[in-house]
Amino acid sequence: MSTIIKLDNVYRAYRMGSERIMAVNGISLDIEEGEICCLQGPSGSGKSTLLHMMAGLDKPSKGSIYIGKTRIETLNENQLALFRQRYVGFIFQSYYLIPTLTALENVSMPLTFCGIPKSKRIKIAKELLEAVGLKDRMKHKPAQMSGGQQQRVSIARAFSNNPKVVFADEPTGNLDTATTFEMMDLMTNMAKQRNQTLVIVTHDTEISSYASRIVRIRDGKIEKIENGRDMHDEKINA
Amino acid sequence: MKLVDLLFLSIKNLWRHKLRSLLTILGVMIGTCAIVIMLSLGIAMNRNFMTQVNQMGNIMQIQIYNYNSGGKTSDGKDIPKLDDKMVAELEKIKGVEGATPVLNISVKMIAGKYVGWLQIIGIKTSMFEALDIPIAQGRSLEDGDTNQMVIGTYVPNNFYNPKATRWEPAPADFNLMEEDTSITWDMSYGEKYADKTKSKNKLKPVKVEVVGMVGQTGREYDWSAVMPLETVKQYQKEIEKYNKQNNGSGGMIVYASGSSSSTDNGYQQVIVKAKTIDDVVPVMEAIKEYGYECYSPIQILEEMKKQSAGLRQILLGIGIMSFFIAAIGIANTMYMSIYERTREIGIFKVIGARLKDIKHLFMLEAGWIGVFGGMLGVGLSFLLSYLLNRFNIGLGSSVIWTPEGEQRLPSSYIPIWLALAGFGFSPVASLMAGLLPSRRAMKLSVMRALRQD
Repeated sequence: MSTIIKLDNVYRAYRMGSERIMAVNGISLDIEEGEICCLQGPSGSGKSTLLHMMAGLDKPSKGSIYIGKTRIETLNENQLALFRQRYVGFIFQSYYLIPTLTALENVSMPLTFCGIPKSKRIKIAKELLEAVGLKDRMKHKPAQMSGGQQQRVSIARAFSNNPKVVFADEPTGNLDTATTFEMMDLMTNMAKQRNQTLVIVTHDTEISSYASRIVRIRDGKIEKIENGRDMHDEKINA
Repeated sequence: MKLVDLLFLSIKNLWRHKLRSLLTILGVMIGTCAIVIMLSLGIAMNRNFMTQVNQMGNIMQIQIYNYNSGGKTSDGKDIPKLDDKMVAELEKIKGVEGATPVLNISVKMIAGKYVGWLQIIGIKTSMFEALDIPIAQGRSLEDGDTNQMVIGTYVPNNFYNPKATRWEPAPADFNLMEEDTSITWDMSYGEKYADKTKSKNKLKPVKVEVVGMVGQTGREYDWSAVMPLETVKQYQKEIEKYNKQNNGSGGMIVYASGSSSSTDNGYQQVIVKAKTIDDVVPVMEAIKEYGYECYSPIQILEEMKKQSAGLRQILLGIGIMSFFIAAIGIANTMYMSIYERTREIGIFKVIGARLKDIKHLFMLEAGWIGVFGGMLGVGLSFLLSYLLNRFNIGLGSSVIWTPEGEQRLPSSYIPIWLALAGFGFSPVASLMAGLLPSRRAMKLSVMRALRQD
């Protein structure tokens, strides 16, 4: 397995009034291709900041981040947009769907930005929505769907451009326990089927049971790296 | 992102806020309409000047008067003789369609038992068309005509019976084209008081043929007859001979104007016809170079246009101001829209929208407002223009009198180019109004946009 994400001594400082806060304080980490990596820690530990930097939404104050062979902190906004189109999918805690578009349109939106013709992107979006179990919700708008259904749409969207890496920022934070497990099953299954790397940020310890590796973060530093129990695999094998 | 997707998405976004979009579009509509209507008033004013001036005489005809023939120009050059050679030279000036000398003689015309006084204008037959003399009956003059003439509408009204004891005008159905006609320079011909004894040289009238009647022009042609230049020249010589013989002998002296005998200083009047309206002024300047005086109704037109230029500028200014307010409305709507959709812009960026996609999306929204506003605005302009003309509200809207009676000139006129310019201008200006807001949307930081609630 090759390394897909490499963090090399990454720092991120924020200025709050006159105080300087180190949100990420010297983190080095390699993430392998096809891995399901869970960044876990209490709120304010810097795990979300780390995720944003890996996805190119934020830049480190110091250190470098490689995705494949690209140093993403050196890319400009347009290069980042193209990079996201090709390599990155996103899942957020509050779904971040476009309220005026239907499920189908939301899922095909990343493909629209890639310039893929309408018939092709509708086909891909339909397949994905079927895969997440929303075959009969395609024409619904986000407001007409439950939280779980919205998160399914958001998962379908994240996978629509067939990315190398999918980043999930507290993906189950707004969901009840039963739905949380459903979502985690769905995400990890889809990532595994396509040999895609999944990086999940969470403070929920139950979720870490799905991960192949758990990175515990506290005060902007790596506290501990554990190999996951990978309960999910065990369940399938059992 | 493909253009078709951008177009579709931008329309969809406008549709989200129907009322707000509609109000902005109405603003643009009023702005476009203001510009188009204000311009249409100015354009109508200029067109009306043209119509009015054209009534005074054809605007493309330049009259040359050779008052200071044989004299010098202000800078000391000799003014050349205005003869046939010179007329040929004038015809070679760029933008000149043709030129003809004009000769005038007064004669008495005889038709059956009636006689009438008549002014004959001699011009080159080839220039007949160029001088815009309309033919109402019969034919116009042609090359090869000699003693043929066309007469003005009012000419038959001059005829009377000189032998009658009481005043006896020619009957209403008197048609000179059907009579045997001839002319004489003896102005006392046929009159009872004519002193036959003193007249040494009995004049035989010259046969002429009336081949056509000129329609009403409002100009000198209504009261005159037009004949070929060469024929009139010949008549002039005869008149001179006759005058010499009768000088001091009591015969009636006939005056001939525009005399052209080879010994004098050339023609006194020449008409030059320009090819287009734009040629008139340059041609006039070229003629003035020679030292001749010249005149065209275009001078009045230019003067009128100059005097009304200020007014037209103020009108256009009001129009542009209205559109400016509409453009501010667009920018305001766009800023509001961006403020509301900050998070959406962030999401777009996260899922792979490029900077130019975001910019184009918002600019197109502004563009659509311009397209719809422009369309409605031009439509409203045509309606308003119709109403202004219908109820004759306007600036200096005027009335002219034509043979058909009183005619109202339109107070507003929208030419096709103005309508098209309205269609085109509105989206372009709207895009410009959308430029700054779009740049702002483009520059929004993703993280800040996503954190916004």
